[in-house]
Amino acid sequence: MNTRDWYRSVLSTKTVGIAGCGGLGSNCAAALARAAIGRLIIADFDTVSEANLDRQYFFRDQLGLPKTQALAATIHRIDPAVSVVPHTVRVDTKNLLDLFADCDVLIEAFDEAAQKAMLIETILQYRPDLPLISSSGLAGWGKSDSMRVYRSQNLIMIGDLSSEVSETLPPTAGRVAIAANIQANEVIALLLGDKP
Amino acid sequence: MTILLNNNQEDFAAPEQGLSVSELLAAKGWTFPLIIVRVNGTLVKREDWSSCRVVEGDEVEALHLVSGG
Repeated sequence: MNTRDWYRSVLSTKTVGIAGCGGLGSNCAAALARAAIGRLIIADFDTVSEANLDRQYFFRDQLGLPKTQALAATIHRIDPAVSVVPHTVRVDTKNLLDLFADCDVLIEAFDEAAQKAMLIETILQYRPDLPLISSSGLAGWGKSDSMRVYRSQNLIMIGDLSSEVSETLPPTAGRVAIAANIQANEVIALLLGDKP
Repeated sequence: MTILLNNNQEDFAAPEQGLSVSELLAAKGWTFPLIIVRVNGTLVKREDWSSCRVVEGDEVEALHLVSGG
């Protein structure tokens, strides 16, 4: 089997959880769908709005739809063989472990820092065996080389750990997609057996 | 004492019993509201920051979480 067929056949047996379907989650899901991932468990409570279209992997004709439903449709347009399990809920400490119980890897793709902390602390405490790929610090533009990958056992964190979204530092398409695609790249490497 | 902080060796003035996580963060001037702290690979919850001690040779990770995504 050639290398392309090999990596796609391996990834087609894997399940990835994506907590949050905004700028990080939607772009990461699209990359993983193109990489022939077997199953994506996606969760988000929100609907697609006009303001999301500046960086998130949604389309104008999806305005008003639940993000999980819109993203599932887009994933199937990319590759109908990808199985999508959508959960239109707000992820919290009560449902988190059940929602993503049978993932091979979990991606933290929330917007709010408090939600990120909730997910990371819960997983580190109750599922330290589950590889977790998170992100912190991606607002603004430029500074591409400040995007770093921090590795700490099963936790991988992507970002510059300081650029927080604000009125004067909005998230922009290029930089958000860089972080999302580094997340996807790390997932693929992990699932193909690379050691962190 | 010398510890490994975010994969960098750093020296801190500390008594024999080491520093608490809170004291260590204060020594660095880190006051971020949301920060994930692990000592020797184990998560230290915020309520345990003042009781958990960091001593010579420990490996500490402190990851700052900011909004955006």
